[in-house]
Amino acid sequence: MSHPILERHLESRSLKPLYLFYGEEEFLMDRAVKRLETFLAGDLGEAPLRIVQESQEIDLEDFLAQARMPPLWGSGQLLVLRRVEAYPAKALQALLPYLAHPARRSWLVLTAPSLKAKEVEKHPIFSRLLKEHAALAFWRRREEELYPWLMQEAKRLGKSLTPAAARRLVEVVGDNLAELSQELEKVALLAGEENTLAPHLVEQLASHSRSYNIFALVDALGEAQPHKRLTALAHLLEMGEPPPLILSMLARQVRLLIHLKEATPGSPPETLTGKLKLPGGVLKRLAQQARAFRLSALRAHLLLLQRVDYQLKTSAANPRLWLEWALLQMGPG
Amino acid sequence: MSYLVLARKWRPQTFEEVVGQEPITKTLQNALVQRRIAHAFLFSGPRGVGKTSVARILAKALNCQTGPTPQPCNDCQLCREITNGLSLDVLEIDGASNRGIDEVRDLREKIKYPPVQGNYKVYIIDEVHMLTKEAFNALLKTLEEPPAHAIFILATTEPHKVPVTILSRCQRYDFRRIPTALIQEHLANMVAREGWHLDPEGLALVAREAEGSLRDAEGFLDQVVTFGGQQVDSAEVARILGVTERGALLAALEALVTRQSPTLLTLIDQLYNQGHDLKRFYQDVVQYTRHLLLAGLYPESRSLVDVADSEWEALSALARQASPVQLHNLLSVLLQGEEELRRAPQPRLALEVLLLRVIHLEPLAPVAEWVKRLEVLERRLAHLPLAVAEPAAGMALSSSAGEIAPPTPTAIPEGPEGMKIAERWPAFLQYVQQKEGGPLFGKLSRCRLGQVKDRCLQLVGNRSLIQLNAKQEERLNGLLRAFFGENYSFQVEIQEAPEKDKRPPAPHPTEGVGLPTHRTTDLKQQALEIFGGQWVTTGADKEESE
Repeated sequence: MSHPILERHLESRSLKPLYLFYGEEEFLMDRAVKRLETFLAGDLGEAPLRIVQESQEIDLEDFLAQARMPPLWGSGQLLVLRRVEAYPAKALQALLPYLAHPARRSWLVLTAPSLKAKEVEKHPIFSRLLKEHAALAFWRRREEELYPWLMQEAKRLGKSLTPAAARRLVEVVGDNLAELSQELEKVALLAGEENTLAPHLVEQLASHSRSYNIFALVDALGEAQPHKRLTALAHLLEMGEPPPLILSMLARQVRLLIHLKEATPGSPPETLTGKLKLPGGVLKRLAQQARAFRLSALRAHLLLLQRVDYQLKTSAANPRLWLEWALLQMGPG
Repeated sequence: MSYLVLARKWRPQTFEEVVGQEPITKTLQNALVQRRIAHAFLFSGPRGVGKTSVARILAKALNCQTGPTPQPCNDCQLCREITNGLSLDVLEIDGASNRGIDEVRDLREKIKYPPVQGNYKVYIIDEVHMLTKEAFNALLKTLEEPPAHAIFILATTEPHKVPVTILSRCQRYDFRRIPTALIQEHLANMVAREGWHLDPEGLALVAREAEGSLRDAEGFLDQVVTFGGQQVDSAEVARILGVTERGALLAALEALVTRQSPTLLTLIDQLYNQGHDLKRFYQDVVQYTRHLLLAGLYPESRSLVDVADSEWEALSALARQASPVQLHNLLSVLLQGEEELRRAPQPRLALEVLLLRVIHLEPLAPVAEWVKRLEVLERRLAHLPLAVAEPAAGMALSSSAGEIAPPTPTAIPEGPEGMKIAERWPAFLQYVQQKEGGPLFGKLSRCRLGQVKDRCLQLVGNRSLIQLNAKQEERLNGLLRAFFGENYSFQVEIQEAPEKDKRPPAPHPTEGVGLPTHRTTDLKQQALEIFGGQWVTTGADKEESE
């Protein structure tokens, strides 16, 4: 399903001549455009002419003039104009006459990913579209919404995704729908004939993901066995990550853990999400990791990493050895 | 036919022949079977791990006469053309030399023409990160909606330089470095097929030098065979590659562990006379010391040490002759000496001095003992009245300005309740700062926590500094209850300072009441800087609280 309102319009065959897609989830916007295109192809009996343009490339008036011009071949056209929020308010006035007399065989989609709900409500033209159910919002999914979404996506691919695998996928990839969709597609391909997508398949591919591995290294850091830290480091190096980058990723994680530890006990997670500028899921994972460390140990680790950073930047010694040396000194404390 | 280097001669021609990238090749093969082929791929990873090879195999799999197929035949005309780089439908573009917008525009112009013979027109852009920003922007549109017959395979060693907009439009595969054991196995097969004779230790040396890159390994093998002929022993391999032979390294480590200076000096002399690069020898010694440490203290890490089983046994046996502290210190000191050696005008002399210094690191263990004693002393100082405490910046300023010095602190609160509150006191101050800030926080930060009895916190301080008005008292009570729990209250005890107080001011409350963490760390740091060595025993750390 693309968007409930759009689906309703498609079902009742009452498409609006112009839609505004706004909100930060561009992946879902693209999908809605594709859905519209597929519907038009079925409805018109042939694929509509598809024109995609960016607001930087064309004036709004020219774009609308293009929409008024019927396509030379084919029975309809779908015109997409991206980042319409970049136009000044005055330029957007050009939409009013078009909305009063839209072209008959053209369907327009304007996208505005950085537009907020309040801005749409207050805008004289966008609010009108909102009232006419032609302004559709595409917001980022919350973490708890991601799992059912992933399972639905897996079903679309003809596979069944276990809840554990869905959780693992979100842990590994993050909350970006485009990336999640791509990784899910890869896991489904790796599974081959296998119908169920289990966590081991996610693991197999995830071992090729960098975000997974830095978390694995910090996880290993929280454990008493130093060889696990070295193994996690070896994994990152196998991925081709340059040692200075590993060091900086590690230092960043340690800094975040320190922030978490230093936060006032009982302070609500939303405060931290804002302060650390991290998505909720990542913060949750960090909070789990933070439990394994003592604050004093984390501070000492940061100092040690600073020292190793200096060595990596000023000496010709083997960077891997320096990193290993540091990891052997580090630990939960 | 002219001579082909091994890397080209043995370049994999099927997915099965690709070494060490199974999850990727399997996924691609399944995509071909299920006809779910992405229109753009991004292959990233270090050099020589199979990115371009897999891209070419994928191109063959797509365009093979029997294709799209997971097993290209390598026999049909199309496959042969692709293998020889003659196919009109597979365009290999070097991103480093075709990096401008004009080249990408040209590509965009030509992409609309359907393939000449095959099913797809495949564009392999190697080193794609080298494209200019404008070229990337021009490529973006094409990547977004390429014609159905076009497939892009972008390959890069530096994916972080590729714009996110491009990354998000590609199906991305991260290639890993190839494990040494797999490289060695592959080299052994290659050597057998070529009819050469290299012992496993020699092959292991070559594989280790390649650091996960199969192409590098094949290059080294080429070098070894070119110089040494078709039968080369491990000593010869080491000499050709410029690495130190394992026997010499083990002897050097033995001399270091058992503190035999003459043996070590003789060994250096021999290596010098044989024309060895002494700096390289030192690097190998440091690497081998790392192996020794892991063999001695973390035998679970066997898989991380690229040595033969016999070497591992020898290292384990040697490690048993040294204490854990000695092993740790050995690595620390050698690591730090590397830079010294690099800058030395006389490497031999510098190497001898460095290694002799390592041998004579007699008081290594006592350093830990020293630090331990410092810690004990530090803890005792922390419990003393503030005579030795560090001054907080604000306090020092008030004192110097001639104001009344802050009150003399007494010992930290007694009893379990007091200790618990004392531990949470710095967090409480942060909480007050966040919730209230202003004068109340200012006053609280100038007093210290006295006794805690029946949930009543005694705040000790100078009259002018901590006297609270009624509103502040009420507010503080509220905050105390919100933070520590119901029924908590406080009372202020005024403690005037002596007339001429020469004592240093009180510690900043946010540093913690009776929590000497930072100072301990500083002292440890100072001790390490003075004595060298490294921090190993953290027994005292366990007693620290967060």
